[in-house]
Amino acid sequence: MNWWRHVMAMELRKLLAYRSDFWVTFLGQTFLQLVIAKALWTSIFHAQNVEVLNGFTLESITLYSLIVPLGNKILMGENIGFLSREIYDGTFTKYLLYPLSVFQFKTVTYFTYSFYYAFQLVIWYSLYRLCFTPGFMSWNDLGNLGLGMLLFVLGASTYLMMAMMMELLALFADNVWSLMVMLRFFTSFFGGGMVRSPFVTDYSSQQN
Amino acid sequence: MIKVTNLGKSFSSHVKEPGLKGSLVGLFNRKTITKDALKAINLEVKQGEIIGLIGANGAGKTTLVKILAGIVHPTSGEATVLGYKPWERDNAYRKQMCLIMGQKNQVWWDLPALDSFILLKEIYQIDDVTYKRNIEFLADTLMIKDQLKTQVRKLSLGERMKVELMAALLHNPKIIFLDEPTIGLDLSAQKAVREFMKNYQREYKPITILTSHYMEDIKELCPRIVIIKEGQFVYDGALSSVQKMMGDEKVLSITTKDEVIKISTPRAELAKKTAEIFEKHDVMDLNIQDPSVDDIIESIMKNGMKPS
Repeated sequence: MNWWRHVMAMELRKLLAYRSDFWVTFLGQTFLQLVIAKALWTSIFHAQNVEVLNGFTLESITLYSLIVPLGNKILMGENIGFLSREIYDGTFTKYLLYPLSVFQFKTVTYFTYSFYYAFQLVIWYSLYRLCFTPGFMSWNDLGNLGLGMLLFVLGASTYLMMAMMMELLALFADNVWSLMVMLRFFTSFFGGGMVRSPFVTDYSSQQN
Repeated sequence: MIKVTNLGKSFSSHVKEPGLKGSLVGLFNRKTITKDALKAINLEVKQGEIIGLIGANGAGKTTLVKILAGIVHPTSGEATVLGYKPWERDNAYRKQMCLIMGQKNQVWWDLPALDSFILLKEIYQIDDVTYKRNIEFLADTLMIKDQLKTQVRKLSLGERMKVELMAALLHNPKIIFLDEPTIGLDLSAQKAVREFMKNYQREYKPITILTSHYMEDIKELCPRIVIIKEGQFVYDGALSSVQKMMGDEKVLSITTKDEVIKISTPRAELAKKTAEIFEKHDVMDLNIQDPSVDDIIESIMKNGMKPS
């Protein structure tokens, strides 16, 4: 039975359904983040008059600022409330009627989003390399990229399990949407999605 | 075949006193009430039969439909549909039934209906020949062929309902649950849906359970009706027999200067009642009729009269 292939295709079609939204989220949003990160870190490096800051060059910290938000999206997959909100507004009923497992269906949906964001990451990584560190990617680079993707799959699976538990808890504990917001905040913070915490600690201790 | 024995369902929900004080108290001390949505009901429906489930809002119609569709677990009693317990949600059962809810979307909102149908074809494992034949038959009968490539959210309410019907019937279900399929539709769309269901029933002979607030739906489609009031069946029988229940009743329609009054009265008291009305009101017009099916059903839903 290859229904999952069709579920993936369906979710991808949903992501491509709105032209402007697609271009804004696929290119515009990340481009804006990249421009801000580049401007911010250039001014910090310039103000400090250093080439390397806590082990990061300007290029590598900019790359970090590019990869982490996209990696965050890969882990988060579908939006908050992919189970609880649908149960709440009644659209979840259709999955209960289908002759297949709801959780399998939702897992496929979730990983479709992760796959889409992973594709976005690969495109942006390649663009970045072309613009800032031109030249062919080495086997080592490709190996790192592959290893990164594998880790993202593992991370996404872990996050999915945590999110599913939280989603159901959020619904049964009287619609506590904030639980999902808290989960997102903690995973994002401790995963370095906001600011790389060791970097901040080390840098501030250097200033003291 | 559907067989329901002593089926009951209770729901509990929180209650809160109105106002800010009530909200604050609710943070620490919550009251819960339990409501019996269904009270030990019994029902039997044979293959090919179509029944109309009628009742006021909150009478328990949708709860019964949801239990039979396997979405909700009953609190007590038994039910089998085609030999399956619906709430065990056996895939073999789910392949043979469909639930169409007039107020909920089941096809994907952001995509054209055909995209949803392709996925449903895989989910229900419909072979290519049957899929093509069904798409053609349903699109032709529902007159929706030209709209199948348009995003569902851009369709009118009537077109959306037709698309929902197509999606639900694509796999030729043996059991159809229709929960208010004509709600919010204009008269011509209601008529189109009714006509379609009539033809479909004739062609495929599924078991159909229809809930609707529109008496026209019931009168056109359902030879048998079940009236439900506060979770209990108060009438289960032929629609044509419902009038006999009030065979002794007459309806007086009195038009005065200010209003139209409708009174239901036993035949024996007709003369007395008419005289009283002429005494009390400035009557412009008086009409004496047998009660209509709508009046009788409304009266049963309101007063819970039992068949004589």
